[in-house]
Amino acid sequence: METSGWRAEFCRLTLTLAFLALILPGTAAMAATGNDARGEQLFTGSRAMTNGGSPCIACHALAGLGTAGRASYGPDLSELYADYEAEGVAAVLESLAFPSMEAIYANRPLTETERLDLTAFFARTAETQTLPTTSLAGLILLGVVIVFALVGLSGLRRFKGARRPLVEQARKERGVIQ
Amino acid sequence: MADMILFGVFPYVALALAIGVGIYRYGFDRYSWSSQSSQFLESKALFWGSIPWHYAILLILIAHFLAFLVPSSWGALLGSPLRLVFLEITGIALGLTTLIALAILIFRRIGNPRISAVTSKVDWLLFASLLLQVATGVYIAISLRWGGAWYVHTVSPWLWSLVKLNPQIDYLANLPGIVQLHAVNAFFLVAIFPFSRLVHVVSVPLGYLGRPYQVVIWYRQRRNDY
Amino acid sequence: MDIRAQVSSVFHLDKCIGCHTCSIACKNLWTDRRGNEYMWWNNVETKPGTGYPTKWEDQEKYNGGWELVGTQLRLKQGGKAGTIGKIFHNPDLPTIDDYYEPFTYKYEDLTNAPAAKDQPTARPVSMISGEPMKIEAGPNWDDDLSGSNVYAANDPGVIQLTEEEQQQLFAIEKMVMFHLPRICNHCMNAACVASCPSGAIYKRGEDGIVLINQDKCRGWRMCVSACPYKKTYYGWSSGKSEKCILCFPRQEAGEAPACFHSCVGRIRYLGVLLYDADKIEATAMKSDGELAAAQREMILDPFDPQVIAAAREGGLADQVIEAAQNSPVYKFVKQWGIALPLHPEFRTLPMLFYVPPLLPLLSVENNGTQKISDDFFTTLEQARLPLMYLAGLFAGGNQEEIKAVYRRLIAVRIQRRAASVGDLPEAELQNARELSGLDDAALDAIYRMTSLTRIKERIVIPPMLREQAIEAGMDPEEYKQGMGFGSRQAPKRRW
Ligand code: HEM
Ligand code: SF4
Repeated sequence: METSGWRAEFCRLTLTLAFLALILPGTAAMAATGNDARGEQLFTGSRAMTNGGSPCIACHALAGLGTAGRASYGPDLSELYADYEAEGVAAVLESLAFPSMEAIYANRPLTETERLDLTAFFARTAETQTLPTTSLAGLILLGVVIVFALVGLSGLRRFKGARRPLVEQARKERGVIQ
Repeated sequence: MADMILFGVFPYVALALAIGVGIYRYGFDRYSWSSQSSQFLESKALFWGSIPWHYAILLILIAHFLAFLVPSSWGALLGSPLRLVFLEITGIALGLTTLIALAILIFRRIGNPRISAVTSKVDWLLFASLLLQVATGVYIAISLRWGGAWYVHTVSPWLWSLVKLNPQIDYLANLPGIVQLHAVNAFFLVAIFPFSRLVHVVSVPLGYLGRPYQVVIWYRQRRNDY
Repeated sequence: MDIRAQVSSVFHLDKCIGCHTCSIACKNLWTDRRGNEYMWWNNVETKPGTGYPTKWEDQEKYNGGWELVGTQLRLKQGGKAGTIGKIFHNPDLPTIDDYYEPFTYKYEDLTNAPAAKDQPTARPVSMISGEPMKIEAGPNWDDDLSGSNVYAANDPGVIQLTEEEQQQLFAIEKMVMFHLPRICNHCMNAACVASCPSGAIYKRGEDGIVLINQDKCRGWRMCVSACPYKKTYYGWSSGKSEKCILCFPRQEAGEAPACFHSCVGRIRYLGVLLYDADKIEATAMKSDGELAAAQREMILDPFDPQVIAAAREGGLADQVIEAAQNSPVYKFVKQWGIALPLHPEFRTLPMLFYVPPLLPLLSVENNGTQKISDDFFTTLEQARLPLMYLAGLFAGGNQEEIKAVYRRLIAVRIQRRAASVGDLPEAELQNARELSGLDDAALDAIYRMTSLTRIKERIVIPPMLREQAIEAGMDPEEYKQGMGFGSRQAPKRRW
């Protein structure tokens, strides 16, 4: 159910971007350049958004960030820049009018510098488009195993009953019926 | 309208029940306030269920509360890809632990006739609801990554809006259904807390650490100076 | 000096006939509810035997009581933080299988069964789940040495004996056993009180009775494992722990506790002891063998003017001091020195004392008739029970304590033999008297207290001064159900 939700969103995103790409052909020329390093910090959340919006990494996958860049809540942004170029990206960052994002960004829009920085960052990472395929399942399961192992260790010296073992032992040793 | 009721009204109803009934029960039927330990009837499966369950659920609850209470610090904590991945792995592992442990506890209640005999209807409701909560939680954590991060900007402001008596249901209305279910069920648990064995959670006996071993109570005044 | 009064008891083991009347009186009064069927606040077990719950004395298994860690007294099950850490699952908690699964029979099948060729039977069913069950154990499963090759042979006290002593215990025609009635000891240094995370368990200042506040108990079940005597019980249905209350509502009304009142052998003595509460910790830290003597040391002479003055200063009423002066327990424990605490090495300073059993004379088979054995028991060497076994039970392994008590009991026996049959040489009586360290009057008093006294002398209940208690200010009409236990609803699970 929620999967189809993202798909719908993704379609909407694509459509919006296509639309913007059509009506805004001239804006690219006047684009100032952002700082891609700051853009990365904004994307990953190591630098907070001025207005308190969420870092993109929380929901969006992006190739080039390792495993952390494999968020799955929203659509994958790895090909965003390749598909829409700077002006398209900048435009979409301005409105962020997608249902899931609206609530977050409506009152906490990205500032202009932030948009530029992010766009620069997208431009830098446009080359890498394939996400890493390493799976976290192994580590997660290891975590679970560690928890249960610790529990097991903590209980090595727990009371295992007095009467039944006694009767069983006597039965074994002397063949007595209780 | 349904959204308003579920995300804007129900949480208040749940809290009112928790506080109102909780106070009533504590005041007028304190005898019933108990962990209802069943270890005396069955100890082995409880060991593998109760210990991982409690440690894991407490850590996860603490994480939820921290992300709600101090969202910016929590956000800063997750601000590096490495820390983000590490905390998410830890969280999912703990989540799976609660799921496995709860499964053990539930099978123990179904499979052991002694334990079934001391399980009330509310207990069953509680276990069903906890299972739903834990299962949806794990599912969300795995499939809607990274929950630890987006929680801060969706659920947390929603909870704060509830605190400020100005519920902004948009935050929740736009989240996937499974997250909504997780959130509503959380408040359902709050609602049944005062009716169930969950009351033991607020009786954590930390005062024990500070009191002397022996307790002596005098009915009459001790010295002859009255 | 911080003088406190405590209602304490003495059980005279030579008098117990093992009839279990006491257990039944208690059960009918206090523990006939669901979840309490398995509880015997008063139980009578056979020694040698593993008792109830099985092997309760083996603290290597159960981790009950206190231990000395360096110069610190610590609960054997762990310190305070350790206790909280184990709250989700208590690694030292016995389960119901170590007591027994309560059962009943489907009696209605006997009358409801349709006509058939076979006799209808009443199958046993569990009182917990209602399912048919195989009865593996029950109350007093090892009564009177039944199943002794499983139970008596594994008595923790027996296992420690030498091969020779064990043979002496179980030799055919010389087999010995005695009954050990047990209730809560209402200890001075109670482990259950110390272990309760909720602080629900307390000692009443006025009379020392240890109670569990049922409204404060949260079912963390730490007291069950902490009590080395296993005398707090977990109510598996109510989710509350319960224990012997020394029938305080009866005592407040001037009645003896039910087990005392109903005791057929009249083995039970009750009275006030005065002790110095400042000495509790130091005493509990003595070495195993010294504990019994050190505890006796704590008990104060109620006739000593200094003690009386300090007691008054501490708020004890004159009636209570007077009750302490008339206390048979004081006589047994302190004046005569013939009653010892059970397993003092658990360091809880139990306030129930036992007169160790001398046991009846041995009768032997003589051409088809019974005859009293020739070696009439007048010396320690002839004791029917290995002294080491008794020392393990009542003196933390210190045989000298047992010998001292036995010498006095033997002196009483010889004195009575001399008085009633007159076949013993005066020298033997003289010798026994000297060994015992008691004079004729004391020996006579022991004999009188043991066999001739009426209930008013055996059980001296101090006035509980209800009129000064807070409850007395409540209107009994208004607080009908609230009086006494303080709870107004039935003690069962409701939510
Ligand atoms: C910090 C505090 C907590 C403490 C000290 C605590 C302690 C306990 C104890 C002593 C038991 C009885 C175990 C037994 O049968 O012997 C118990 C059972 C239980 N607790 Fe907790 N608990 C805590 C927090 C929680 C939380 C946060 C939850 C869930 C949200 C929870 C859910 C449960 C459940 C469902 C059971 C029943 C387990 C079963 O018998 O199958 N507890 N708890
Ligand atoms: S009633 Fe008295 S004689 Fe009978 S078993 Fe109990 S203590 Fe012993």
